[in-house]
Amino acid sequence: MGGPALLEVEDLAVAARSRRGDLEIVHGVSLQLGPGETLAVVGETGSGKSLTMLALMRLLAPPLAITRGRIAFDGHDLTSLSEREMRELRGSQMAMIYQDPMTSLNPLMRIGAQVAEAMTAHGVANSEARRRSLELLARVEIPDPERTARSYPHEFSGGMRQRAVIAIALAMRPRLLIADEPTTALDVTIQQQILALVNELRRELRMATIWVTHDLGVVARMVDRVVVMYAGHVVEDAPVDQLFHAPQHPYTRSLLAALPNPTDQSRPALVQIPGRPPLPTEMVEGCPFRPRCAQAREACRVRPVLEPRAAGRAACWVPVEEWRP
Amino acid sequence: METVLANRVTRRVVEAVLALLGVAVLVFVMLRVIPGNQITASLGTEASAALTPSQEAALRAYYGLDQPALAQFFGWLGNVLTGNLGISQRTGQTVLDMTLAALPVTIELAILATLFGLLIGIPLALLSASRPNSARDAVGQLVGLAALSVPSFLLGAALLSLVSKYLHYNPSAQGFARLFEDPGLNFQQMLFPSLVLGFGLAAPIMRTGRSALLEVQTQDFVRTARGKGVTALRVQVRHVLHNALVPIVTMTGIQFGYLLGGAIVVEQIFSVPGIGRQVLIGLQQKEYAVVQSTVLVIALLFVLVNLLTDLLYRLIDPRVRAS
Repeated sequence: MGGPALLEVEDLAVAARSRRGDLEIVHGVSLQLGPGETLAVVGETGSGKSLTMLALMRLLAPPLAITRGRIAFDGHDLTSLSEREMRELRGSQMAMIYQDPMTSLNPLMRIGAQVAEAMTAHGVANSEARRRSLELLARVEIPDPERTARSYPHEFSGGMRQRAVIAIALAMRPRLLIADEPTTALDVTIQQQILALVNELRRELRMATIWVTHDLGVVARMVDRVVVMYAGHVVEDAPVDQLFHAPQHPYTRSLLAALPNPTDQSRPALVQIPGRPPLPTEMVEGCPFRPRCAQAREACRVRPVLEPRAAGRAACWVPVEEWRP
Repeated sequence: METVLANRVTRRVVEAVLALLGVAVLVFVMLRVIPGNQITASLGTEASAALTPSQEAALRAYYGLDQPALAQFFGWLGNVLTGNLGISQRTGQTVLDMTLAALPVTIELAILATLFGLLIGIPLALLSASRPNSARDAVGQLVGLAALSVPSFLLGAALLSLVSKYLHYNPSAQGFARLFEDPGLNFQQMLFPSLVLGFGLAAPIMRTGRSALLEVQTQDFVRTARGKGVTALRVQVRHVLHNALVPIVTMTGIQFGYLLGGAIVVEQIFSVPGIGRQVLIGLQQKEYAVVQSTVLVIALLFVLVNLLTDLLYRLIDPRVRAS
């Protein structure tokens, strides 16, 4: 990584608050990101990856709230900023692309106005914002920007809408881009186009980027490092090559084994990890992956902490050399 | 596309005509079912009981009550269709002239009341929805509940008596000033009745608005707007409120329609010569033509307001325009 980190998250916890107490869903996530670096956050649905990202943007909606931890971004501690100070960072320094383009645009507002708003919110004059929104729409490869800027979201396909959402996110050239499963809601043919577009823009604008995904294969070629989350915990954090070739956590290994590999005839077409992740309401003693883990032993009844392993970090008591095949 | 629109318009017109016909029949029957008629109303029950059969027959013929009901109905309907709404024996004016005088007053009152209703109801809804289940929400809801529970005759009478007693101010004591003759006095006279009506109107607007706002707030595009760094106020107004407008407009349209029917009680308390009073006096005098024709005009306005509400949806939501 080298140099000072752009983003440094320490022990970040997110909980659903209620009168009867907090239900913790994200249990102390830590991660770092250097300027211009790309990170993938992978995990199954419900592993807390999207909530973690919303927490970074301070966009959690009640009853969800940050209950613990520190988010250092470019010298600010985001958890202690006022809503006003946070608003100034949102959209200008850090921006997000969301999962579902069908619902993430205002249905009553013209596309051009929604893109322009991302700039006027940060003091860009109306006329300037309008002019730049046309450029942005052209940059995300929306045809005939003059005309499409006057369209409403319902006149756009899913892929086109996601392009508009990308234009919104990039409007102020943020230093950090969070792409929260930007392709899951799209047709397979469109997915690749969107991924390629974001990747290209990321390089062009030299943005640090976090890709959130449940599909390791999708981002393998585009990221520097991967953080693996399981049941609200970071279980492994490693450079992408090491993660694919020498996973340091049994869960990561299971995820890799579950990747479909059409060229490998010796394996069954689909491999499953037995069982399911625990729900936030289910307390697992020790390691959260223990009930599904092939390597589990007595020591795993105590919760492992994230410790340096090889070139990354992993939260597992069992040394790789002792793993059963 | 055009035929779809044409079909829809045709359907709306047919529906409207049927509704108006239903109203006409209903009012006609109701008037004849309730005890008393124009003879008892003008002479009093005792005097009319003392009438000789020939006197009674002459009066019945004079008022047109000797005709069979069907003939009365179609005679009146035929006249209405040719623009003759009948004549009031009490005032000697045509019902058309009376309505043309009373209607602008009622429309003015309804518009002012709706404005007050929106001015009170929408900020309350925004306040309540900005932090649901908090102290703010409780205040908003409490005011809404009060507005819903306090009857307008109570609020109206209280306002009138308190202000005139302690502030020695009662613009309604003078003769009614029409809007274009004396706008200043007219506005003073309209202020209290429209405030009272607006307060009552604020309650359903606030409740509808609050639940619509709460629903819209949870939608993804609101998060997108916040993610852009848009200020909280602008998110609430430009994104949330705008998307919550359809149910609010529906509720306001319905309430506005009712107001056009004349706020009988409030018009009476504040001596506003509106359409509600016209119906009420017509009913007291058993002037069948006055009541029937006025109610029909009110029903027609109601239908028009509904149509206007539909047009407003198209203005608010581009998806309605497209479909």
